[in-house]
Amino acid sequence: MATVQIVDVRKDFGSVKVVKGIDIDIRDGEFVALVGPSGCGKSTLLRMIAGLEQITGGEIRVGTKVVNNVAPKDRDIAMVFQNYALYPHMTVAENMAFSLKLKGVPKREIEQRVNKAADILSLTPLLGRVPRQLSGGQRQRVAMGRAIVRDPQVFLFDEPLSNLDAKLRVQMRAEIKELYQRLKTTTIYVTHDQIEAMTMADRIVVMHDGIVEQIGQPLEIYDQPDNMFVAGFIGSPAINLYPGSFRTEDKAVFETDGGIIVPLERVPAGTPRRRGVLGIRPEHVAIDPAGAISLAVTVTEPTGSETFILGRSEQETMRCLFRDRVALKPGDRVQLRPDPNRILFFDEETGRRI
Amino acid sequence: MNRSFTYRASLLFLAALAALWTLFPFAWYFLVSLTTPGHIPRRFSFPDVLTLDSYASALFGSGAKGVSANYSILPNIFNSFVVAGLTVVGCTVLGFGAAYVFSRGRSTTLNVLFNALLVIRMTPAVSLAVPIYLMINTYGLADTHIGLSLVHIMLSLPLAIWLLKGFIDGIPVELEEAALIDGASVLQVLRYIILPLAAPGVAVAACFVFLASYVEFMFASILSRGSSDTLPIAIAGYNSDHQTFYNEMAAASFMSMIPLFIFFYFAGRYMVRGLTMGAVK
Repeated sequence: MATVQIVDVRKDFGSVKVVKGIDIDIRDGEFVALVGPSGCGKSTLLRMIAGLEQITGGEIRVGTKVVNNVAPKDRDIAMVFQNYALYPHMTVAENMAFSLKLKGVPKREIEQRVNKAADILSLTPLLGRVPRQLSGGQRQRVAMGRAIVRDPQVFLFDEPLSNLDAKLRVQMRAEIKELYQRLKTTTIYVTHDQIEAMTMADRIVVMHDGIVEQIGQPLEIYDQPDNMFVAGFIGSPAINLYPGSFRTEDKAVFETDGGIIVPLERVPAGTPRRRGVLGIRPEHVAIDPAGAISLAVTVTEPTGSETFILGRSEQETMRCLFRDRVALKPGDRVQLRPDPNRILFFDEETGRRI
Repeated sequence: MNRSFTYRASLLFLAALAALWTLFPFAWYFLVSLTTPGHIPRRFSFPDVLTLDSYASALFGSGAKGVSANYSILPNIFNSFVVAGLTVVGCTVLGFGAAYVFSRGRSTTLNVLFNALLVIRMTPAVSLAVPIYLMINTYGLADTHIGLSLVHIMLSLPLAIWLLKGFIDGIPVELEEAALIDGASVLQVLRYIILPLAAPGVAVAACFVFLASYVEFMFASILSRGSSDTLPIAIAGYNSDHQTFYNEMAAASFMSMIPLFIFFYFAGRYMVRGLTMGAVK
């Protein structure tokens, strides 16, 4: 196990800057998820940590050692690829034993370690099969087995679940988490799926356009997003964001450009100008006959455990999520009250949270 | 599938016609090889006596004077195998390395080089006859197995590279990256990952290269002076200034095909594709 320090790391492909100076300090035994939309540089960053991609600038340290110019094989890391990258001409056992064989580990010990890993991942009955005889979930497990037999300093996961169907994904998510809790090896996990990041990681690094937008614990990022991008990216269904103006004539209100008026207890301190962006998470509204927002329901999506409502209020569309069953149908009108303690405001120009 | 009888009959007729068109000369030639030495059927007719005399005399040089060339093609079979074997080894080893570089490399220079290799193949071989003869002669390699295989390697290498590149292109690069992280050096990646997965491609390339060398006539005839004559030279040798020994020529031609069948049978077993299935996805 080891710490991983990423100091001002940059990556250019020709004149295109893909990673623009990233600092992340990963603690020993921590599970960190890199999350962000496609093209944000998260996979490139992971590949740089693995040594598959040259670093244009900055420094990556595994433990105390700077690994910028160290070959992947000497970094003592293991990686699970998105498409598993199992060796198709080798059996499951051979796939898992490959790294140990290259290292010259004695046969007996290889066998012991492979068996132990197979046992952990319930792969024992499959040891003699080749990858094409396995299902997606089994292949995924073999890829993890190949990583854990080596007992590396750091695990890298590159979107390992994105090729699985929804049900299997949830199952494997739990398996990876369980495995991590058992091994407590430093883990860096790249995903574009915020649910995976939220549910699995100790800390989340939200990346966008080659930079880090925010680093923090999952709920911290959810409740106190640093900026509009993070607020919009984390959370599903997505947060409602309405540009508008603060008014203090009568009492403090925020009026969105689309005409919704939200009463405020007070205008947030440090508001530099009268403009701003209001953020309301879909689940932070309650049905209340005295509520200030009048919503015309256009779509309802009951899923059993919760009900998603899409509607229009004045000129704005609004997403709402209720944990209880609500008897609403398209065309209905309902009064809503946003939770005053949980609404967020952002600076319209910088996007920073006020 | 409820096609009419006429439809199926006409398809069958077309197929039969195509087969007949291609096979007729061979069939006739085959009959020549089975005819009593010295007799050539002028038209396609079934000979009165079927005999293997021409085969025996081509193999052992045991034919009667006047109707036989009196030499054995056994040494020529040996020569052909040595030359083709060396060519296969040279082309697959060099071709595999080059194909890997062409497949994984990303540079304009490589693209230009790769296309140049293919363009060179489009020039008629005869235009290279003089320079190659001079080169091989200068280094004292004329009439040697090595000399001829060097030329054959030059002729077949572009094809081998092109074929192998296609196969290596199909091997996901993630497998290499996984192996690098697993602790493999670049050579170990080639040895343990790329080579086993490209094995069917290597078998295909080996077959084509073997065939090309085995039947190559022009350079073999320019560079040989007797001791390294390959089969095509020996077969052509039945046509001398004074006489042409058609029966033996035909017998030798048919016998020359047998080793090819055997070679292709064994190589074909390695050509089974679909090994990469299940690697990624």
